[in-house]
Amino acid sequence: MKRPWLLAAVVVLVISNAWVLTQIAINRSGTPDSQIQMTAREAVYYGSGREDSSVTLRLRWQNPAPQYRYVPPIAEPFTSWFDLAKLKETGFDVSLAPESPAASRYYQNQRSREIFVALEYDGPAWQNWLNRGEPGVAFAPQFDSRMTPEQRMQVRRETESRLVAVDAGVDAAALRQKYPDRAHAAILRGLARVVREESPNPYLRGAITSILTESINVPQPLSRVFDGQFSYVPWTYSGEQIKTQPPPYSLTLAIGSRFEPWVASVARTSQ
Amino acid sequence: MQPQQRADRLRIFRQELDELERENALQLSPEQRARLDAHIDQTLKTLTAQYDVDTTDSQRQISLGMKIASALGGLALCAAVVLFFARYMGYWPTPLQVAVLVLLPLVLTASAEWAARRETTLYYTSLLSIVTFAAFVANLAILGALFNLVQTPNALAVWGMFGIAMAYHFGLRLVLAAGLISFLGWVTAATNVWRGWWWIEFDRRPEEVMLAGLVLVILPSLMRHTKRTAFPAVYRLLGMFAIFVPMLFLSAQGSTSYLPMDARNIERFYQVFGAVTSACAIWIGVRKNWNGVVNTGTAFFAIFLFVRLIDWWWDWMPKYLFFLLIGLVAIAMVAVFKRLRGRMRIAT
Repeated sequence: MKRPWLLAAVVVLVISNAWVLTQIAINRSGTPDSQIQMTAREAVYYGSGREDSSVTLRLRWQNPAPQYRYVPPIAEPFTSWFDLAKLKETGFDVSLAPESPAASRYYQNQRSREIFVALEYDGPAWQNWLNRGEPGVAFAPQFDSRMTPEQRMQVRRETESRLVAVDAGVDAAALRQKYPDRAHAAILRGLARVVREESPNPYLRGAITSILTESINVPQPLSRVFDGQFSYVPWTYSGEQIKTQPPPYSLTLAIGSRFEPWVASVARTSQ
Repeated sequence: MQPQQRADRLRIFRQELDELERENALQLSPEQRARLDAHIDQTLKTLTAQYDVDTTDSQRQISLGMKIASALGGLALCAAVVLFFARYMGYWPTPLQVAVLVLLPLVLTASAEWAARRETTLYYTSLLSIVTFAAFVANLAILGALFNLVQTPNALAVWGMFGIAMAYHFGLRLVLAAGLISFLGWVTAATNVWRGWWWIEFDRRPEEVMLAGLVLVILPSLMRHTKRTAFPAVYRLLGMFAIFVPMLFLSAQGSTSYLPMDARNIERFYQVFGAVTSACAIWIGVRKNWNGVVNTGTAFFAIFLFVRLIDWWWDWMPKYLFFLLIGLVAIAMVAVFKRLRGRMRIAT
């Protein structure tokens, strides 16, 4: 063989591309794992710069972890679903007691693990998320200080993402069995961490730190929906009154057998 | 011996011969001198014809400029490729996007091979190889973004394999460095994946990067580089960076270490260990006559030393005194390195 290294380079090029394209085809073949109708509240378009022609939507979802609530700090132990048992189930090493002197460094150095996250769209979890946040809404920093708690709740109810993380696990099939409604429960790959809460009685909890496919590309010709000047301001406050805007577009997010999403359809909504 | 090294030796030999004749230390008969000059001229002519070597100082300067220009040009073209994709790819239908992404690195690989067959100095080949590597990185990265794929460390492995294969085929150090960096990233990321951790967070345990760096330093001693004689230095340089940069990090933030010690003691350990290891690297470099190892070891030894001095003295010492002491330390280092240089000269 006269040029073994050159041949090796070409083989690497061809095989890696063939592998990636096969994975894409596998993900999108057959019936999607779930197909969810959502709006600009859940998949946000922030626009793109002059040098960037791509159209990318960012998936917004509600994280039930304590740091995403408005009343800091939380005195009582965290009572959400991502507790010690769930940490063990998702493979985290929680063998060291959280009150041990070495626990702080031990848990700080634990890295994230890739898991499957179940996200429920516009269901009981969303209502629960709204209700749990109501007592603390007066402390929410993103609102004008003159806004009443009722106005703040109106904004949250009418403009926030209704996609809520409801469960996590290492077995996607088991999660799907637990959440069988494929039109309202999405399973996506995400990252989780163990968190040691520093309180008088330290305790461990889990936290979902990100969904690995939060950034979703919109291909041509679907991306033409976003052509031209496009701005969406979900709500405005005049000093007395709140005015909320309906989402300017809706879309169908399909999630395939490898739990990687794609935009199946997108359309402008009449305002 | 590389053709350029042979040409350099002949050029220096001729200059030295002129000097010796002027000093009457050596006198060749006119016939002998004429025969020698004819032989040197013929050898240089052959080397120039076969390998396009530089035979004068000005040619060497221009060649250096061409090397820098081809490296910078390659990097600029990489930026151009990526920015071109970002600027226009969103307007293309998906099949065209995929076709361009997949075919571009293949076409560029063929172009680099075509250029290599037509030039002996590989300036254009070097430039095209850098762009080819960047196009392959963009190929997989943009495919992933277009189809919303979860990022995987295996991309680093294939980029590494591709870069190393291209580098060994054309004999290009910059492409080898790009390939080795990718491979280094994959080795450390893969150890995370095997233990169930998310691969990108390999920086949380810097000692794993140090281990991979050590492998890179040792590797050229286990592999024979008879044809690519400049490659072992690239392995050692990257390996040393992979060892010393995490060490510097650990000397400031010990809590991320695997060592079963208090974080402050770990920092102290790495402060001493970093200085000692970089001094050892200088010693090994001197003994083995590895200039790159000596220079890199010296740079890191100075960094470890000055970081410590700043940490110890900056807050309580008058600033003029601090800089005076830094100056004295630098003078002491110059004296030590002068002695080392003397030893290297004897060794060579």
